[in-house]
Amino acid sequence: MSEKLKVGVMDITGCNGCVLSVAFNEDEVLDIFNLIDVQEYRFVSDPAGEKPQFDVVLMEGLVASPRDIELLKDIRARTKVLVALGTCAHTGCIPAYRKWTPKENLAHLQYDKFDDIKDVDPTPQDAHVKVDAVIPGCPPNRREILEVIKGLVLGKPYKPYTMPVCVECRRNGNFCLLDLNKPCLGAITVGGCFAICVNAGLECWGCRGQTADANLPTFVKMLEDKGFKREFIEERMRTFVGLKIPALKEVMAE
Amino acid sequence: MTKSITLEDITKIEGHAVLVLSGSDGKIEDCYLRAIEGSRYFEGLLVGRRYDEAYWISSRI
Repeated sequence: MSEKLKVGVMDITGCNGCVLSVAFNEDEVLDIFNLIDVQEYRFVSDPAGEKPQFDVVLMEGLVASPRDIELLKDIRARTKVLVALGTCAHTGCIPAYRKWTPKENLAHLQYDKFDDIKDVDPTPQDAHVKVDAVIPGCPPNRREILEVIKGLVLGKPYKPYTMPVCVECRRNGNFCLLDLNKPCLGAITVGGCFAICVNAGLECWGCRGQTADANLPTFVKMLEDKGFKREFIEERMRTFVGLKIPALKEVMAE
Repeated sequence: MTKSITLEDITKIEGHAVLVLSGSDGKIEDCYLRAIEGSRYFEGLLVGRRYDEAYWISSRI
């Protein structure tokens, strides 16, 4: 290999959990750093130089302030490939749920005393710039991040997982939480997470986004038959991926 | 003579912040950290949710 891939791991508004997930590959991290040239990774070290050019940038976070838009556009102009890292980058995650929260719940939290904190509508990255690939999940699976980096180094694009969470969940031998009357969204959610939540006995909240063939009307009806209220189902489905499921509105209107 | 040091977007922390220090004769008189990240309103998003949903949401702060 002639030249190493120039990589940046960056973030805009978010919890830095996705950026941390990259570093969680503790056993492989030295091998990765031998393969790629990390130009900027503010969470673990100072940047190598002023405004470097990148081949790949893994970008965490959603757009929630004018500064985020500025930063995102600047990075997009300096990189060949922009990978949205995590659910915030992909769908806006929980902060984007603000769209469905009553204004009076938020009013007392407006920090208008400080001039330098300004709000914009919480939006995923692809609402502002072109995103070349997505690593979903809140937090993203560290193995998947490895696979994506591997694919980029080898020049073979990583093929994202498209099956629902249930496939891996049943393979893990879990008891179905829907049978226990828990509102698990695994059946309509893209897997690849090894059903980590259900393995721990917790229901899936759908953080990785809905599958292309998710049958929403039937799924909503099934949850209703189990005794869950429409408002609750709507709230649950929107918490992580609300901005990416416009179809839900029509389903709920029926 | 008052001197001031500003560290723009400091590294190795969770989030984005600017550290501003000022003082004179080797003594710091004023020091503050300014968060420059967008607001996420987690406190407001939790209002009205079920108690067993709170830890799912607040763990994403």
